[in-house]
Amino acid sequence: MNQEASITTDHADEPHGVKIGVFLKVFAALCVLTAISFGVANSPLMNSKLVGWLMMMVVSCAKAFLVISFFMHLRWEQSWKYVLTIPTLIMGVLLVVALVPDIAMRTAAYSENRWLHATEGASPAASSDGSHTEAAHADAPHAESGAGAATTEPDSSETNEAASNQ
Amino acid sequence: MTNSHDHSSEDPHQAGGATGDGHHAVALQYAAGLPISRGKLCMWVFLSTEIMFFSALIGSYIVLRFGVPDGAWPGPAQVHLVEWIGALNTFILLCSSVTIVLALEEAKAKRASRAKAFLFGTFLLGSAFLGIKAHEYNAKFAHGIHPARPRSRIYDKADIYYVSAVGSAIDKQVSEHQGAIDAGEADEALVERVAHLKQVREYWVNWTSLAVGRETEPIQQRMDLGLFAHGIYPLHHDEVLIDAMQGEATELTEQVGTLRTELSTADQRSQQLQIEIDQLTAEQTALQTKQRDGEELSEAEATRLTEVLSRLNELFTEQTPLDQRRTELTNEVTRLDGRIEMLKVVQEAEHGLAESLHLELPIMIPSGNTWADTYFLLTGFHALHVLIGLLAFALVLPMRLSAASAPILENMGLYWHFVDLVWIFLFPLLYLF
Repeated sequence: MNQEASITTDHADEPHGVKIGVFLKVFAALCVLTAISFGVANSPLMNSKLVGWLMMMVVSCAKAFLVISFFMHLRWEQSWKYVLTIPTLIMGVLLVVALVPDIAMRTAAYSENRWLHATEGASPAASSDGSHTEAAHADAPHAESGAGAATTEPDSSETNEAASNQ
Repeated sequence: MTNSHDHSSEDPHQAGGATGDGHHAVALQYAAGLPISRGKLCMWVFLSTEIMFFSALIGSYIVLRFGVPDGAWPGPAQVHLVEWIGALNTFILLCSSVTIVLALEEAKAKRASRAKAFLFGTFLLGSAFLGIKAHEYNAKFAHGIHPARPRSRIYDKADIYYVSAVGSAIDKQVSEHQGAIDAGEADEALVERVAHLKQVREYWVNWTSLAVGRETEPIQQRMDLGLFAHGIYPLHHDEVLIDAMQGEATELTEQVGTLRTELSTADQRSQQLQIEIDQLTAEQTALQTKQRDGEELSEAEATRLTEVLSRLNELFTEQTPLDQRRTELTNEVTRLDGRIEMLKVVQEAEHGLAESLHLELPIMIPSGNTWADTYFLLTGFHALHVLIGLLAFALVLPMRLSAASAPILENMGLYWHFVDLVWIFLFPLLYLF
């Protein structure tokens, strides 16, 4: 085996022309996948955001897989590739997963009262009709009559209502 | 480890160790832990840390993005993000990934000039990406969207602090330009701008802070503040708020009508009073002149003078509060007319007062600051990586790209693909979510 070649091109099993063909095919696939995620973002699939987001992330992961395995040659590398990629991947993913229940879901249990003091929704008017208005109106006398002791009370009493609103 | 011998060419210690000197029982042999060249190993270890670096950034973004209240994350249009430009940049980076991989293939095939052409193509595509990115940043800066204060004009919430921030922003701008206007040096556009600013100050800012201060119902306060923010920077077409504005205009027009009727009645009464006062004053003067000239007034005349004086007294008693009331009414009519005019201006300013009239006012975007922070941080770090890649290309481009320089190209390629990889995730997360 040619030593020089084996260092730089461990994966030289395939002839030059074939590989270029593979790269171009991968490129085409990547373009199509980009178009798909762009299409998903502007399609009715986004009506259910979770579905849209999941699809886009799946597409992104597919694209990442293509780039890593073909452009970064990992497909043709020996098993050392797992030593470097798998621990990294675990640490990267773990970090995100660890943060989600703490912070990303922090608003899931907000009470109606707390929402009034949280950052505005996109439409301030939207929160002033329907159930929100009623809940807020019900709140007002509570807070006024109860003075000090009652200030924490609406919080707990509204929790169920807030949960059902979402 | 079949490949461990491949490193013999790189390791001078090994050349003697493996072959001669039979009396050395153990031939120590150096081999890297992984069967790849050291440069490539370094690049992969570096990329592993980079993956963790970017997953921390992206993870923080996801956490912040999904923790905001439902619907409070700004949509692309609200922060002047253009989806197709992001898609174009994705395409450009994909193309550059292909060109760098082709450059490597050409170098391995010992076609140096073609390898150089592909590398140069990669360099150009990377530069195009950065150029488009710079254009995008610029578009955001132009609308007051910066990563941080003091340049950022974003406020997260429409509350009284926001109202007073708009007020002081207007005052600052007005005082900046007032000197030039007073000296007559300002052009027409500036004069108009300052006039608009003063109008907004009086009939949008002051009006709202007064209304909110007087209002006791929290929901109505929120509605007023929401309307205020919407007028300056509408986040979307909001029928409820447009109806509210229309309703307010109609109501105020009615009020102004009533006040005008009252005012004209008061004016008429005032005129009548004035005529009567004038007549009586003339009569009084005539009688008093006569008296002063030493003539004796007849009994009838004396009675008349007393009558006139007491009547005048009555009239003045009526006139003083009437005049006060007329001033009040005139002021109130001017105030209401100003507000009605303001509402008209707001309804005509399709993109809000800040944009349509170029007033550079603080704008309210829910979670806008978190958006700006994460957007500029993520894209900024990515752009920095692109820039470093471009510098590496610029350093290598003058070299002769033969098969010997294939390892350099391979390592640069690995780095560049990683940069592409990051963008593959950033594009949907930042532009499409």
